Amino acid sequence: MSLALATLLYEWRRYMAAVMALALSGLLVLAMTGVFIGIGKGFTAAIERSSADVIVLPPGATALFSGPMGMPRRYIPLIYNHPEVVQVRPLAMSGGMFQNIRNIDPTMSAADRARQGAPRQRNVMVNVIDTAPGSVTIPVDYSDELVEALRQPFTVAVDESALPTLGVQLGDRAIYNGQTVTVVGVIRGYPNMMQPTIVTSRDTLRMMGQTSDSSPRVGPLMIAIEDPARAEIVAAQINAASRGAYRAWTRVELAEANAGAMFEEGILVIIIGGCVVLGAIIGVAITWQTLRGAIMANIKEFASLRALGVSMGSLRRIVLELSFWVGLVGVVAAIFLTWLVSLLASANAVIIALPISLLLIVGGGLVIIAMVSGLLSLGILKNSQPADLLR
Amino acid sequence: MTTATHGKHGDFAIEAKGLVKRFKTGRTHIEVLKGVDFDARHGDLTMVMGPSGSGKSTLIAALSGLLKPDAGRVDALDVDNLWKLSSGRIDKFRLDHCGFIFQGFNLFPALSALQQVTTVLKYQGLSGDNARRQATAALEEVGLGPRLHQRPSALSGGEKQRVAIARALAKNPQILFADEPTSALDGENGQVVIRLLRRAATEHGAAVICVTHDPRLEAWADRVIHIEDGRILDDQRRTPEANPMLASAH
Ligand SMILES: Nc1ncnc2c1ncn2[C@@H]1O[C@H](COP(=O)(O)OP(=O)(O)O)[C@@H](O)[C@H]1O
Ligand SMILES: [Mg+2]
Repeated sequence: MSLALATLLYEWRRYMAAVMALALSGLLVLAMTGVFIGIGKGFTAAIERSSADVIVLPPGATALFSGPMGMPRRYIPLIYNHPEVVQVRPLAMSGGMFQNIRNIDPTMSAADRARQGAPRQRNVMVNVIDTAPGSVTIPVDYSDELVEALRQPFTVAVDESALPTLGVQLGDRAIYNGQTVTVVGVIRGYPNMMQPTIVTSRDTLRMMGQTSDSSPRVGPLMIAIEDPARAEIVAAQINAASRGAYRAWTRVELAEANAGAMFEEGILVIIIGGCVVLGAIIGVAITWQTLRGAIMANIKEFASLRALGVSMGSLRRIVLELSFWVGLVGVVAAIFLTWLVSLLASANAVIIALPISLLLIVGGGLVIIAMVSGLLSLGILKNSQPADLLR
Repeated sequence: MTTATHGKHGDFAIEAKGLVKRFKTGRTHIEVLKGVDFDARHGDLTMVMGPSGSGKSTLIAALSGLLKPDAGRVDALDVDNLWKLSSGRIDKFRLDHCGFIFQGFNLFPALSALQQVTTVLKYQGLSGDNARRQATAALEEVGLGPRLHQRPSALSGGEKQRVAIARALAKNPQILFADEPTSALDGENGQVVIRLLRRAATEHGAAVICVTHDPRLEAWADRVIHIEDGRILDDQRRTPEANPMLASAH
């Protein structure tokens, strides 16, 4: 084992400060970026799990529900013109006020009643599906039972992460925009940090009188084709016929564009960039001072190596190797910490996405921070004067 | 350890002429070495004795290429005028030919006795296996065969100094500098250490230059040089009383 590694392992307490600083810098950047990616993923999930092979959006849009919204309804028959298209359904989204209903038990004590709290009112986003079997607006991960349940009038499904926020459970009744609905399904994997989301059928919405079916404009068009493997070709052909009025994407293509578009937002770059700069400064400052202290603690030993003829360059290499190992341990600690935080976050419906590429980039950055700190602390080696050992 | 010897017993290993070293203290200069001539031979245990502050350590530093003298020259082994070399070459000279033993032990807390020694040997270019073999031999020679894998915190002062000696001897140095090697040790451990230095001279033909103000060590020396106030007072050749071959336990 090398001197640097042995020293790090044996005197690990001395290096804890540096490792923690690196871990926290890493956590700062990873958690921040991860949250944003998580938010993005929430939107992308709807694309990735949709049954549509091809999705048509207004030109310039890369997300289902942002950017230029809506297209003329007359585009639907235009798209049916393509011989391979079997189904075109507009994706609808709605919103309203959701309120839970308290079961009033007359025998309940006042204290119990107080504990139950007041009814909660929340603004919710509503995803609309068509419950006809094989409908292109049903996400692939919805079970037949769920679709069956939603086919009943005045029913809704809620993502499990939104249950506590809305104060409802499976089977509860609640009030949506003044009308009573029943929670007949709980879905998983569609958390929304901004606003709780519920799912209902287009028919339920119509019965409530809240559909936009008569509107001349429609949202994104979800398209099923005969052979999903030909999605790319069909999308290209639809685009060729569109004359720029709309743009057809394959599902995969849109998911990628959607994730990428998020990071083109200036504010995100500023926030994450700020975290990176802050993390780097904190990391370098603390790691540098820790390494200086550690070198000074062993300066006599280094001096005795110098006396025995070990060159200054070799001592520098020892310090740089030490920095490298400190950096590596910092990366492991950062990933571990971030993982803990992401567990905590997901318990609170906040998704911190940690793709491997992000871990690699941040990990590499932490090692660079450690190495820079090592370079900065090389100067202290000048104190390893073997003549000082002769007294 | 291989019993390779260097030069011939009696050949000059190091010769210095007219060494002068001044230190600035405040506005005044103090002259610590006032034109010292010095030599040491292979196979000799040369003892440099003198009161504290007389310039002994400064002399060793100048002889070994650690502290540049203000005047004078040092010829060591086949190098003419050591101080003409670049600092990198002086480092290389020490790496190839010199061993050091200090009053403190200066061992890395994280390394086992064996690792302390192999670390230096690896810088000499030895492969891992060779370094381990040679380091084990050196540690066995100083009687630490059973303590190879102990860290300094598990070793006594005497054992630590023996690790430091093994670290210096494992390179098989032609010149071995020792600055007060026994002054941090009790009498018994001091005897062990001086016996090892004696053996390095007799068996390996190293020129051992040992600075001390401990009069008990005089008995082991081939030559005793007294220095006081930066000047050599006298230089006596003598026959060591104690027989290291019989005295050494191993
Ligand atoms: N780096 C230095 N700066 C100033 N004075 C020094 C320095 N090193 C040694 N001295 C002085 O030189 C004198 C001789 O020191 P040293 O060679 O260490 O003596 P010894 O080893 O014989 O005890 C002492 O008076 C000491 O104070
Ligand atoms: Mg001294």
